[in-house]
Amino acid sequence: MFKLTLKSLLARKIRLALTTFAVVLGVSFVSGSFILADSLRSVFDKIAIEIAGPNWLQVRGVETIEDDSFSRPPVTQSVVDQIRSTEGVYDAEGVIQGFPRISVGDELVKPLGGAPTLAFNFDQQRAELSGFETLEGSAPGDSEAMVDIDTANKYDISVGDTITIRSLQPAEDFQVSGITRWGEDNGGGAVFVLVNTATAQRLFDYPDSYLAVTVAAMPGVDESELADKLTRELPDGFEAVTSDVVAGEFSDEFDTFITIFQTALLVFAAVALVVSAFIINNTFAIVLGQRVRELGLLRAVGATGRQIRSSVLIEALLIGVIASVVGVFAGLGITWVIKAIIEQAGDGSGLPDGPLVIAARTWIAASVVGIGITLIAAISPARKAASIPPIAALRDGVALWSGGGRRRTVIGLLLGAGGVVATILGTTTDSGAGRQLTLLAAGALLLFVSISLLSTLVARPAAKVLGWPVTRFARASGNLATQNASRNPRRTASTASALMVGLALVAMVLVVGTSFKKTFSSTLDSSLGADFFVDTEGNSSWGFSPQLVDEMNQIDGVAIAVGFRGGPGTAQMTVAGESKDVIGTQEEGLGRVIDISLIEGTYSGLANSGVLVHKDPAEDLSLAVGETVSATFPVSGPRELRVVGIFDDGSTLGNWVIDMTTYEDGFDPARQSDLFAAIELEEGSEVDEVRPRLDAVAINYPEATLQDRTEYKETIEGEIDTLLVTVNALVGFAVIIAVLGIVNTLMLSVFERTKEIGLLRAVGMTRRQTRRMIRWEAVIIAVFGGVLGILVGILLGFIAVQAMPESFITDFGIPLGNFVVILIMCIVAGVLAAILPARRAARLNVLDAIAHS
Amino acid sequence: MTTATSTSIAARAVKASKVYGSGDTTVRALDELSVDLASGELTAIMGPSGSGKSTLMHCLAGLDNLSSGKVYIGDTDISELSERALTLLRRDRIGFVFQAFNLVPTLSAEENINLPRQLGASTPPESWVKKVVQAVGLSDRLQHRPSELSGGQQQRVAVARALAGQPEIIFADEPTGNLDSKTGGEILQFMQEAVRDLDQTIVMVTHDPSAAAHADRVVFLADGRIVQELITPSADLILDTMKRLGD
Repeated sequence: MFKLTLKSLLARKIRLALTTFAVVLGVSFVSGSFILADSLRSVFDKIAIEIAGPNWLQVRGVETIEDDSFSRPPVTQSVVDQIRSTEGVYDAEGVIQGFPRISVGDELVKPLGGAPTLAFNFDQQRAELSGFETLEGSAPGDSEAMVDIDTANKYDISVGDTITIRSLQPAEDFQVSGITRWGEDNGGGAVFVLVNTATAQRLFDYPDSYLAVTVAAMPGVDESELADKLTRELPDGFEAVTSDVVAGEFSDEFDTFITIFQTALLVFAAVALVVSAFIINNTFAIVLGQRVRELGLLRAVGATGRQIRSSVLIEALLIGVIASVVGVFAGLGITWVIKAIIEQAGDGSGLPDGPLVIAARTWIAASVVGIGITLIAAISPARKAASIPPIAALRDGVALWSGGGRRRTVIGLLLGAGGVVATILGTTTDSGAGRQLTLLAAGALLLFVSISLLSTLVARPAAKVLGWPVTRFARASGNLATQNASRNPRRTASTASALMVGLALVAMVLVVGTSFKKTFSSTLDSSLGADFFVDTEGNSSWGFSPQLVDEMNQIDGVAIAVGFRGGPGTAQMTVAGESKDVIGTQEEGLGRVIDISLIEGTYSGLANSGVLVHKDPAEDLSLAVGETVSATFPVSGPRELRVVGIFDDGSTLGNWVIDMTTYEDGFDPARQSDLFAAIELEEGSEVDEVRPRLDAVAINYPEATLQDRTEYKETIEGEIDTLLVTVNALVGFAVIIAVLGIVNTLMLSVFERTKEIGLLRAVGMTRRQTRRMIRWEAVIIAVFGGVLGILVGILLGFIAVQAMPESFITDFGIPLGNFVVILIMCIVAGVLAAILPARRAARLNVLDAIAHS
Repeated sequence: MTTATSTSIAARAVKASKVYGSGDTTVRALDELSVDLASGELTAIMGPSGSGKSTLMHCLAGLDNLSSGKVYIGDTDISELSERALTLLRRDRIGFVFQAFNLVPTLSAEENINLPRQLGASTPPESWVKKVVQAVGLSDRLQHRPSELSGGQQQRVAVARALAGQPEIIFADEPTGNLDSKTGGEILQFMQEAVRDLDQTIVMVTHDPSAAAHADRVVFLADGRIVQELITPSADLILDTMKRLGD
């Protein structure tokens, strides 16, 4: 039986290749996700190893807020002195780290792939403690700085050039005194700039103090013992840890990031796999349908049903194995494509480079997924094949698959109901992100299977309707194409369903995106009253210097410029034991430049230890205007804040808004970036008239972008579009697989209809007409899939929009234009999918075809 | 060519040879065979398996190429034609009836009859098509799909399809091979009437003496050559001839 299976596989090479290809694409996405994540991990692991390097210790303040590394109080000079005089310590150096913005001329220096721009203090006498190596030039003196070798190369910076460093202080020019390198190869894509200690303390606001202290032990002294000793002997609130701990913390931080990234990619991979499963299932069903007589003969000569079933499953197993192996290697290619897509979406920065890593688990995951999905998809065709009676060998046209049986309809309806329930549960219940995501995924999957089952019912009328214009357009071939598309509703439905899955997700993303744009547009109109907005360049969370707002306020014609502080990263305070994102701003002008729809209270009083709270948390914590709430800040610790107002619109500022002075006291100097600013002009000042003056200031802040209302709207919409394109490009893999599914189905249909096509050719159908017939059939199937996809996508999009918080999306919008584009693309996809099968049909030797038995 | 008289030639093969393979395995399916097929006649081509009768028909109908020699449909030398021109020639000037699988399963009987016209063949007068459809005698089943018709009905539709285009010549390959003798007889009757009453030309390949007995002329083939011809023979005479030729 095994030999027979193998022979039957090899006898149909094209079918084998097409089926395998569908699995390969799905598997390659999975392995690509793993390869990309593992490769990123290896980059960061390498950095971690370099951090751990030759053993050293770090002394630092103990976190005042758990898991918030920004909440460590600075280390004073006296502590550094104490460390240096501790027995067993060879030397110690205070470290200052800042997040400045660097520019060369008016070009902002950008790190790679979301890595930071980091400034450190560096002095020649303790250079070996820094981890930096001077490659050229010398350590920086006053008004001097060193830059790392990669940045120097990328931006063509040489010793003696001038760079601008912006920090908490006004922008300052520095002369490049040397070129440096961190560790062995500068790692991770970060931009490094080094200044001397006095300058770093001034720029980053560490008066006579440091972020942490790097400590080298005397030769022969055990680092962990020294760490324990230092922790014991130093004043309370300071701790000493070994370099391994620091490296571990670094790895953990990036591991979290990579895991999220990988999970996101695997979601797309899962979509691709679902589509593959549809196609494998359909292919097996068609092929076995064509082999009914052969299988009947096998049964007649004594093969048991079980043997037939095993034979089909072995075939699936072989395909799964081949596809998994090929898929892993194809994953290398996919890695490249994914990288390209992400780079396209990002700010030209991309992901850090590194060698591609195929870990053992990639092989395991690929095999499990590839073989598993193929076997699962083959189960139902295998069972049906096993039930073929021996009589099928003698009779022509024993139908293996009926059209749309009642059972099919009932199962379809049940699954559909289950899918909708799961989706709604997933969006409404608050059972944790993981479980909600699982529910959503399960709901969508059930819905897809349900639609594919039920679409059998509408496939025939749908093909007729879609075929109608085609019949007008190309009479005979159009009519035949329509008939062919509707002759086997199950096949048409399955093939179209594969396309439906991918397109449903594309459509859903588009619906959500459009709704978001619509929401944003109405927010802009109703609540953003400012004339100009300042945003962070490239929309990063690093923010811009608060100096900008101060300078804007000096400009003639500006009524008020309001800054919103909260970066870099996300500033968080602790309320009732939970971390809350918080924004610092000022009460003056707040209601005018940004209206957050106060329900109760006023803006005034914010400056006096006040806080503005969104209605949701206010309700959760039963806060009313006039009451106090205790919040804990990283630097200033616990503080009583008085609720001055409760607001409704959290779409721009989030849930918690405090005064700038509260913010400045509460967070360490490194976290004093403005994320956003809004500028209102004086009555009578013209936008065009003030703009040049604003530009003159903004040009000194390349990390910030100044925009008027129209530009701001366009930018935000552009960002949404970029995100949509990125997501859809990744979903696009599933669509490509689905198009291959159409190729597969048509190819098999052409084989199946060899005689019929021969007859048509004999009675005078030209090759061109033959090709046209196949092409229109493909187009009808593709457009059917497209229509189904769009309808399901609108449904999913509607559920998603309903589920999202009101602060995020309020309006619902349907992107009609995009849907028209999708349908046009379906037509194109159909035409492309038909190329090979159509050519095959047209090239059929008429004589062979009609003699074919 | 509706004006064709019984003396004009509908199709002609001149020194037609068809060779398969090469060297020791060479098979001469047709060996310098020449034949004229007159208009307005029902010609039967007979011969044992491997005699070349099917090959002859395929080559005459432009479904297959000759190795050497020429084939004419009317005055057209079809050995010179491109693939596309051959296709159009088949569509416009030739009709086909095969042993089985004559109809496109997705099209109704009527649509099948109209298929060549749908494919772009020049339209014969409406009255002609009506006449043919009437002659088929399946007016009540015209909207049915082939799967809903009996084997005999399907072949009638096939013959009607061939006739509907008003071709210069119809080639029929074992048209009754899949039918019982009674149904087969009806089809042959119908074809005979088409030749006699509608002035059509039919060339039929068969190995059934009783089928060939309906023909005006029977041509016997063996080893790629014509070995015998009979004019309006009886089934018995045909059977005798077959025996003599060693079938």
